[in-house]
Amino acid sequence: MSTQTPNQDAKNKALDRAITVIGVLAILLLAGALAASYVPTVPFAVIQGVRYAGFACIALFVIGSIVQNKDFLADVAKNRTTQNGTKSLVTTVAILVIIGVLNWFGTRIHHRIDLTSNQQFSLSEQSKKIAKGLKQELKLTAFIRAGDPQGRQLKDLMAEYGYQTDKLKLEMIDPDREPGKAKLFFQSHPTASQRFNVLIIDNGTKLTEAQNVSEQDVTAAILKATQTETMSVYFLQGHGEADIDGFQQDGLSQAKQALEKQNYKVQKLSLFETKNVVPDDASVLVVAGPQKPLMPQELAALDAFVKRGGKLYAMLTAGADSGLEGLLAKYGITPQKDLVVDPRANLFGDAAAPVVQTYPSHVVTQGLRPTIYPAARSLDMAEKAPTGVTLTSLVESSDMSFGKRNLQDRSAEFNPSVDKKGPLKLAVAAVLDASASTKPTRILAVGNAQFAGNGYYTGAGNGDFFLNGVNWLAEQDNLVSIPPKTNEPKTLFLTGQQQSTIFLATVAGAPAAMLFAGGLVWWRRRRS
Amino acid sequence: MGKIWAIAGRELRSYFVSPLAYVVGALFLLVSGYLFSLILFGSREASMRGLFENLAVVFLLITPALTMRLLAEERARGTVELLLTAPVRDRDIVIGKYLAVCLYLLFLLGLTLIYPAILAWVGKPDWMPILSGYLGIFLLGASFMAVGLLASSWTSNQVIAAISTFAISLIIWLLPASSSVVGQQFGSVLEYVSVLSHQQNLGRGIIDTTDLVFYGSFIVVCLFLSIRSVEVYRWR
Repeated sequence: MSTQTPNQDAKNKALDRAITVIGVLAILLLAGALAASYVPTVPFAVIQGVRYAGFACIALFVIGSIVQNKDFLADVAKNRTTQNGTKSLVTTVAILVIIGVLNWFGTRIHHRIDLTSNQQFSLSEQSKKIAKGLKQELKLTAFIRAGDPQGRQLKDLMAEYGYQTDKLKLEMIDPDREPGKAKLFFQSHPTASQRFNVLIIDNGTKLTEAQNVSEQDVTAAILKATQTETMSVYFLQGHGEADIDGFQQDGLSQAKQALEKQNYKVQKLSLFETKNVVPDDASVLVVAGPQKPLMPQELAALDAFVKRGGKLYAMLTAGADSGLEGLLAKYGITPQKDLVVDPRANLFGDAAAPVVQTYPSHVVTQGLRPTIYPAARSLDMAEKAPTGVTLTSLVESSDMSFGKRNLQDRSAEFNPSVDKKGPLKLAVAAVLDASASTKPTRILAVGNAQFAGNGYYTGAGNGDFFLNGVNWLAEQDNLVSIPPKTNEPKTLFLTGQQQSTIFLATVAGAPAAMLFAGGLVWWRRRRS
Repeated sequence: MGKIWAIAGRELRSYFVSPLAYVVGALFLLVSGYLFSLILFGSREASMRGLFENLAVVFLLITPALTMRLLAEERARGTVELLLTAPVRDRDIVIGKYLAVCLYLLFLLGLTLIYPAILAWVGKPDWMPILSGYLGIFLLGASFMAVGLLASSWTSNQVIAAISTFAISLIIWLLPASSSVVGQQFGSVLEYVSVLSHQQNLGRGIIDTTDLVFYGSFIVVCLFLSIRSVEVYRWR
């Protein structure tokens, strides 16, 4: 050690004190940021600012400490003081432990920057908020084959969630490699879907599933898994409606199952038994294609239900009068007595089963695959919606389609004098504002019920459309509103010429140039 | 600092006056050029993520060749005595030699800049992830080099140094594969210690302080142990 002048001594002491103050400040700032993150009124930017200040103080503290103790550290590194093995071992172990602790902290306190131009690897604010707000631990299980890109996508995604919360525990099982593990899981979770690339979330009491590993679906499933109250969806019975327990083509057993996987309680409702009152706990009432008209008292019950804020999912059938027509007309939706025929966009040449591929913009149909509507009637949407009602067309048939008015006529020919020219509306959403006598609510009308039946539920986008519809009605549409990441089209189109140029330049040109440079050096050295 | 640079400069010069720098450079360009074209033609994507992930295997192969002689040769020739009795400290020797291989690594990476140039010619790459990918691949290479330096400090036999480097790097490389065998808790530790998994974030355009801390620590530990190992040699 060099001798120090009193002046230097005083300076050192001042520096020591400063370092201590900065260290304490760092701890206070970080603790403050942590505490503030539990207070919902503190804006996130403020927390972030405090956190950064804390990190800056830590950095200053570390740099200051190193500068202040550089002589000592140099001694340790050089082992000047201890020229003996055991002591050297002790310092080695000490250094390793310090590095270990540093890395342990490094995994817990850290910051990430996403440099991709479209923030491809960052969660939406909504997902972050939901992840940060998690109070209980959730066990996530996914069955993914090794090497499946979905596995990587899920891992990337879970890593992002992992930076927001430590409450999510993911386990990926490859049933081909770990059949025992998979078997054990299904023994303890008998209701779980035995399918690949489905994320199963266990909150300790019930299971929730995300049907694929996109951020949108996973966040929705996480949110559902944490909801304590279960929403009830009622299906009206007694007028020839589709049966929720029916396994036949037009049965709704698959729709029921999907709803239950999203944590809805699914029940049948017979208004005759409830003395014409829709139960109070009904979040959504589905009327799935009645074949005969509802009684006036029943319609009055439905009307009262809508007026007190109940959500109605009305699915109609072509050629059947349901009695709902009048109720819907009050809100600007007029079902037509026709059959939607589409000679071009249809299912395997069946002109009466139009296929819809593009949709007007709405959360329900966002990113939806093509949907099929077998034997549908069209809905008219009032030009000027009644006061307090906002109407949105969700599904429209193509320009080539038309509404066939004469249902006895079996031909698929357009008759301009009778039929109505397309595009025709197949589904309309209505948002009702509160008025003096009514509460705000939502109605979804579809000119078809078969689309949700088992025969069409999977394969096309029909199942997603049905589920999105129920979620939207139940005001769970925040779940479907996370916009999917748009991967900028960076795909290259290389001509054959370009390909061979690139290949020659990289595989032959560059290495050859390198060898040539080496040869040149060797030759010049030999000459000199 | 001056002594460290002097040692680094001497070492680096010895690379470039021998055929080593050029042959390794040419082979490196050959393999990475082949990988680059193959990945580019296959993915048709104006990014370097795929190449960065695959370059690790190239480093695994060339690192032993570059690092085996660093300290082992000095020991074998007896020149380490000269170094050790000269007025330089052990850490100056170790850090100086390490600096030299790192500079050579930068030289190799500099050669690969023709790839982003090609991407710019045929498309519109997202530049920031490429930049962070270069940082990642440099840190990965530097970690392998640190392992090589350490192995070279143990022995006077260059072949043993080279094979030890290769074996250690390979095991570190394969650690994540064993993580599923040993259970979740310990498995995540193994995954953390793997030098590869930390490069993945950087390769796709995410800079995470965790990864930087890891690489920094990994290199510091290797250098520290190398210094220790040189010291042990001095006692004997």
